Amino acid sequence: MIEFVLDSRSKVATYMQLILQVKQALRVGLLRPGDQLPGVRDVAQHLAINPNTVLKAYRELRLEGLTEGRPGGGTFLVGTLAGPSLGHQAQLRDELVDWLGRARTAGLAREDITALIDTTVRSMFDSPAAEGVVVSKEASSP
Amino acid sequence: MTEETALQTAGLGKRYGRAWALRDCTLRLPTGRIAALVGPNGAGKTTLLHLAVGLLRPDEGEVRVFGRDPRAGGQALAEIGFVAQDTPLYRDFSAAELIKLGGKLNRSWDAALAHERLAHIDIPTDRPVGKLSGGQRAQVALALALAKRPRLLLLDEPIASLDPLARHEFMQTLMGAVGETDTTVLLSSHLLADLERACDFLIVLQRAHVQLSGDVDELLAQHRTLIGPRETEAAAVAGTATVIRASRTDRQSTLLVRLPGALPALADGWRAIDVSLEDLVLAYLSVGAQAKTETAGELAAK
Amino acid sequence: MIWLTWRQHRKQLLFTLLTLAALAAVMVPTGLSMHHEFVKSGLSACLGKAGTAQLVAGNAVNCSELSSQFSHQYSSLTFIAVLFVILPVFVGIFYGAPLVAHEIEQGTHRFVWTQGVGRMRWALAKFGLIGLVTLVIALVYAIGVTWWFSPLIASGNNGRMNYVSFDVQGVVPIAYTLFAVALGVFLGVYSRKVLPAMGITLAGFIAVRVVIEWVARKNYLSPVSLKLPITSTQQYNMYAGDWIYSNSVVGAQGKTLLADAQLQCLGGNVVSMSTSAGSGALQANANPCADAAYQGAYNLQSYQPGERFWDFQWIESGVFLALAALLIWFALMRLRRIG
Repeated sequence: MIEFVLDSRSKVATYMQLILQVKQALRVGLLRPGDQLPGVRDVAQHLAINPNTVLKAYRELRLEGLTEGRPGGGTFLVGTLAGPSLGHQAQLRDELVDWLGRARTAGLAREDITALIDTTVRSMFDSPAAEGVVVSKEASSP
Repeated sequence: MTEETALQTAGLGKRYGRAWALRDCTLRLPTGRIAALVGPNGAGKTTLLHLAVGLLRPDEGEVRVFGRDPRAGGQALAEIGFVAQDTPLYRDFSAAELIKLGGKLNRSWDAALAHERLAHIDIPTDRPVGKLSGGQRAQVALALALAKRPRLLLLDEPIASLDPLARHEFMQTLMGAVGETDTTVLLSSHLLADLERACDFLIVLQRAHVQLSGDVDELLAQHRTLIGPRETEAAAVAGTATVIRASRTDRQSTLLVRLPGALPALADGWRAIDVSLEDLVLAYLSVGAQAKTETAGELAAK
Repeated sequence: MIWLTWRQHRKQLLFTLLTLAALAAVMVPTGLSMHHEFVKSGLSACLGKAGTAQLVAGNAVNCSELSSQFSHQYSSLTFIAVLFVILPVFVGIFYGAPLVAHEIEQGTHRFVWTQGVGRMRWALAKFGLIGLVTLVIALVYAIGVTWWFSPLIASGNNGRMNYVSFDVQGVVPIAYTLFAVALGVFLGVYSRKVLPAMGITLAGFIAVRVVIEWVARKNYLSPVSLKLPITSTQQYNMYAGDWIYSNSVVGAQGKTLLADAQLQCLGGNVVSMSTSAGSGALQANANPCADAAYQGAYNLQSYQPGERFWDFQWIESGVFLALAALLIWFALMRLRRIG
């Protein structure tokens, strides 16, 4: 059975962290369809978090079709994560190499590139509420 | 609103002499929430909790728990579990004796549950509780409050004087217990960090007044930090947002705003970022701190 | 609540019982010895012969030698009378004052008043149970002390109704104790601190007792006046157990000739003359019996008859019990509002 951990310093919402951990576990094979997720009460107690947060995460997983409830109780995994098709991956990789080349030409060092990727990924994946983010137009003003 | 209300206050006020410990307190805590009551010492947290549990009589306004006046006795008190600050218990009683006492003083009492909880965390029930550690005593107080099977659980700074491990264990026990039942919880602390992960409802008290209250998710969705050029500040927020706190350099304004609805399109040069719960609380605390008169709590703390 | 009260006060109760046992260990042997000696010395018989009539024949029984011998023998024990006078207030201080004040001082009221029982039922149960316990304690020592003291009081010249003697017998010790407990509880509720409550209970108890004893008690019932002509061969019976307010010699016209004095004349000569004040008036008049002003004069004694002992006991008990009830009432009213 999976045991959840929390990154208390992360900006990611707690329920989202739980969801991501389930998905990651599915991806690497730690969790397989048919496995049971720990009970809401046990997770809440173990992590000292609000049970509603756990409920929210479990509900989300159910909506995404990854889990289902069973008559006797408990939450069980049903789906698998559709892995990205290999074809898609190869194309994305090529585009990435291309982009990296352009970044280096522009003068970005390794740390700059890593930082840029990091912040962009975070703002895209981790803050779904920030739809109102408007890219500053300062750069484009004459 | 179809949701039941666990705790409701209307214009609630309490004064000591001429100074008000709590004033104009109007809030509504729906059932099923785990609420955090935050504010500095002397802000009125203990006063509010004592009013909710019937230890104090309001000087103004009213307080109702599940629709009943907590001072009406009997039924109202039976539904409220309370752990006072510094977990006062009869120090020479053992935990077993306290559980026995609870059974005699309360109509509905689950002694077996209390014993089970304490056994689960290895707390000896035959030793006088005065000889237990602070963390163990807090667990006993919690077990006693939970044995009542209350619908509303009020805790006054239960972990303030505990070491980090004891704190964590207490919160674990509390979250586990709440996970099993349908209890609404209101716990106070002067440190938000302790409560952040546990609470989905927030009440901010500062200088005897409620500065902010509501569901955490809603509050976070309603607030943003807007950053942009100082010259266009007025235009950027006019009619769309209430500025809670502002800080300005000669060129830039950083505004923490509350939005009535969805975030509108922003003017040129402006961007919005999310507010963390901690920043939100800090902003409202600093707003409240600017009040002119001292509260009774602050006078007492001197 | 019964269990809680017992569990909270069991040490205190044990200590009280041990104290009572220690007292009994002293009092029982000495009491038995006194009662035995009282009979053996003939004092009991003598007093019995003297009877309780108000007036007796002139050369009637004189037990004074026996009685002073008896008193002298047990004089060292009379200081215990002082102890018993103040015993009620200690019960009040140790049972009454901490009852509410200790809970508040320790903060445990925040625990126990938020249980289902609620603060008023808690208070009524606690006050009632402690009242009952102190009532029983007071009853035991009232009975014991009354028994113990009776020979000493009978042998004294002052009877049961005199100050101090009255206070340690009968039912008033019980009323004093309940009053002391009520006072302690009341002050504990108002001051919310144990030590100040104890101190003020002591002071308050002494003040109230002093005022009632010295000012109020003699007014419970109107005193009786008994006239005795100075030429009578009878005397006032000093063993009647009366509480004497005043003695004076009054002239035939009603004018007081001698205050604080008694006079008996036979055949124009002074048979006996006693005065408590200085002999100033008498020096001027060496033989008042021959004085014309004293023709038809009579002794006037204002007193409370010894038979009224129980009337006075019940009246004074009533006063203190009423005060106790009032104090408990105010304590409950205050308790309701405490924050």
